[in-house]
Amino acid sequence: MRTEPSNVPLVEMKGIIKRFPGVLALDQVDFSLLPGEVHMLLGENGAGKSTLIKILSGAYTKDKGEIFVRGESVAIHSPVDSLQLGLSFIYQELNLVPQLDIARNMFLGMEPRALGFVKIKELYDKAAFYLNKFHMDLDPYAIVGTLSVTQQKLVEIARALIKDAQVLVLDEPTDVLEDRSRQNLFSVINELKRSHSVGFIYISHRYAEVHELGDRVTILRDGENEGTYRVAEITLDQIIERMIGRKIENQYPQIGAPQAQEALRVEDIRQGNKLNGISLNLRKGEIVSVTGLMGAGKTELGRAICGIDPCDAGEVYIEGKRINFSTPKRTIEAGLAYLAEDRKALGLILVHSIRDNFGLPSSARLSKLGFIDHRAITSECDQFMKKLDIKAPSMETKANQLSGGNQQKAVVAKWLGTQSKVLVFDEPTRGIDIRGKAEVYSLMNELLEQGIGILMLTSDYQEAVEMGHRTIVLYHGRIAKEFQRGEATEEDILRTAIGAEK
Amino acid sequence: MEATRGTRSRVMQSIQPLLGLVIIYLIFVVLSSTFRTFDTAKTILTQAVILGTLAAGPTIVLISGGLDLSIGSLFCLVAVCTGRMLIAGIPVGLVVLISLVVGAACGAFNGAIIVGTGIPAFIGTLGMMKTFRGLAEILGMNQDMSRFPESFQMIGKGYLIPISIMAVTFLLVYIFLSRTKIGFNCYAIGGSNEVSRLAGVPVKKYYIIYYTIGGLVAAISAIIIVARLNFTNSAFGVGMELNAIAATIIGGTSLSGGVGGIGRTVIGVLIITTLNAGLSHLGVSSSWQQISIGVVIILAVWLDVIQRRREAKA
Repeated sequence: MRTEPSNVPLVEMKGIIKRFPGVLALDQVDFSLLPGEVHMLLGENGAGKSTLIKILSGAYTKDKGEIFVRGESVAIHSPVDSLQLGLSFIYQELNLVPQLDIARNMFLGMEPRALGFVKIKELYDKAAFYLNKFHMDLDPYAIVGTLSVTQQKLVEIARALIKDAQVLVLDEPTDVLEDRSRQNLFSVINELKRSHSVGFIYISHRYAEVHELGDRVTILRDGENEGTYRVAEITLDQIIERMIGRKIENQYPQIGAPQAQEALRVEDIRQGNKLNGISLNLRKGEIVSVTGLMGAGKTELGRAICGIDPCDAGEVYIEGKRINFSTPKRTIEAGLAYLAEDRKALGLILVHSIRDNFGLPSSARLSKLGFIDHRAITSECDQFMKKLDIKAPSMETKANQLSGGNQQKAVVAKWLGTQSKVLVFDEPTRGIDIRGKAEVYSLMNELLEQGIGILMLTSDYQEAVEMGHRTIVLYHGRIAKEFQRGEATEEDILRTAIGAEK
Repeated sequence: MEATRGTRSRVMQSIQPLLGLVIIYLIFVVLSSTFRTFDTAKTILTQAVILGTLAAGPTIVLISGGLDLSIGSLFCLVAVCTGRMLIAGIPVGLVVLISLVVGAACGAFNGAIIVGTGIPAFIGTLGMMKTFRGLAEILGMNQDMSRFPESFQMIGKGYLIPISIMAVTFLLVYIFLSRTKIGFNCYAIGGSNEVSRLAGVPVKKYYIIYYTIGGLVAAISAIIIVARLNFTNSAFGVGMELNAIAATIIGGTSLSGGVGGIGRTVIGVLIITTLNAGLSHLGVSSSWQQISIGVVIILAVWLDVIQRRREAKA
């Protein structure tokens, strides 16, 4: 069996509180990591996993609470502090220089030197020595860019370990991996915890991995610790139940019945291996939720429908009329609008005013003979600000001075200005606090009453089932299942999304 | 509260360069007795014509998030073309027209290369800077391009006509940036070309248009200088692109795009020409003039950086 871990935890976090404007991200969270254990950290999106990890890494500072590393109280103010304490963080995206070989990546910034010159031979000898020690079958001369994703992850782990890291935090490391590669990674993890007593904090959305790899599991929900268990003591069903819990507040509006006419029809849309033939339809005043795991194809679908990324096949109809969806310009003219998840990077130009952001997609409609009608933009913007109750001192306020909810409203205003018939809403409430969410939902409801169709792409399963007239669950770029309103619980959706239910 | 702060800092941002210009002007008025005449002011304005018209182009290109290093060479190529056509006896009106078309076409070619290949604007226009210069040298080789017809020389003579041409150019660029759809979208593209693309703006097409205007405006500038000097050769305009970009940036147009305006460039141009003229009046050598302009560039952008940092904190 497993070696008995020593008693002093590598990391202990006690009573951690973190508040963001308008939202309590972490409320009195306790967490500990023992030497030689893999501690799985689970929770829905927004439950507080990454906030907790960022506090440990020094990217965020906690409002209250204490952190102990190997029994000693520590203050972590920056990533440099956490590194010196032997904590290493391996994020989903790779942090290696692809043009350099493995050895140079492993020793980047700490190359063995003499008189300012790098000792090349020692560099490669050392790299080979460590790779061997960590049981990684890799060639120090191999260029990182030519490696598989798993191998790259291993290089990152090796780099962390030679910095004397005793704690490794892995954020969804297997999301992009194939089954065989995962086994490879798992065997290295198991070896390291056994022979080097390294502790792992492991964040994953693949709940099947909990029992495969984990020793203990901690479940977060809405910023609270729902419990820490030995994995042997808890079943997958119990984990899912605790993750979802019972949500108290009813923030969802009463949504009326859709109209009879069709607003949007998508037929057999295909794009590489991301979208494998998706067909769906949407009526006027109807809201359809599209959900699934990260990488299941939600965003890809939205962008493909709106002509942002090219696809291999498929047709899109707006109110029965086929549209040529080769460019965003065409689809916007046809009445489609894509409201991107990343409002700051793709939805708004932050250094520009609300008015200028509003006018951007409408500038073609609101100009005559190439001259722009500023008065029309101003008056329409004013109307929409009132209609959507955008809270800002004036329309000249820059977008970066708005709160998350008001930014989202500004994005909606901007697209309503184009007289859209169908809104494709990508993660409409991500990063918005509870009150802002309720406002966004009631705004969506008003749009539905006006006969606009909404395709909502969301990874919040509760939002999906509560808002959608129907909920479509994607799995690997295909429609796994479609549920009518009231037909499915969050749990059913989750099971379908992870492929647990066929 | 926050809004007033925002508005105030925005007003400050456009006033600062103007304030700088006034201070520089006043300093020279105090220091030099020959400087404080109406004639000197007229001379400064006339000297500003070439740089001013030339800088109107980079202003648009920089706002759109691009960069054009080729306009100095483009300016020279147009000058040589103009000279060759004039000594060949082609009618003046036609010469001017063709020269403008050549400038615009060269600009369009810049844009097409950047958009078509996807290479960075810096590289694309660096390559075209070399190319245009080489073409100008080929066309200008062993040619005596001087003593042009009187009617052509009129374009650059005295104060009134050149200054009027510059003023009209600025006015047209101002109207373009503030009143037309393509000009309005220029700011958005510079702010984020992805947001603009998602909003249905034909970003690539517009880039080409911005570079085309840049070329056209450089051609206007070239025609004026050829007319004024009554000769031309293939050494014209070396380093002019950097002077034009410097004037644009001193005025407060952002190198990272999305922010700026032609009014600011006018002020930037006047700061540079006033500085040069004032220092000349004081008998300062041209080497020291260069150093002082270098200092002003760094100072102006540094002030801008400080301001933006403060704004970000607020």
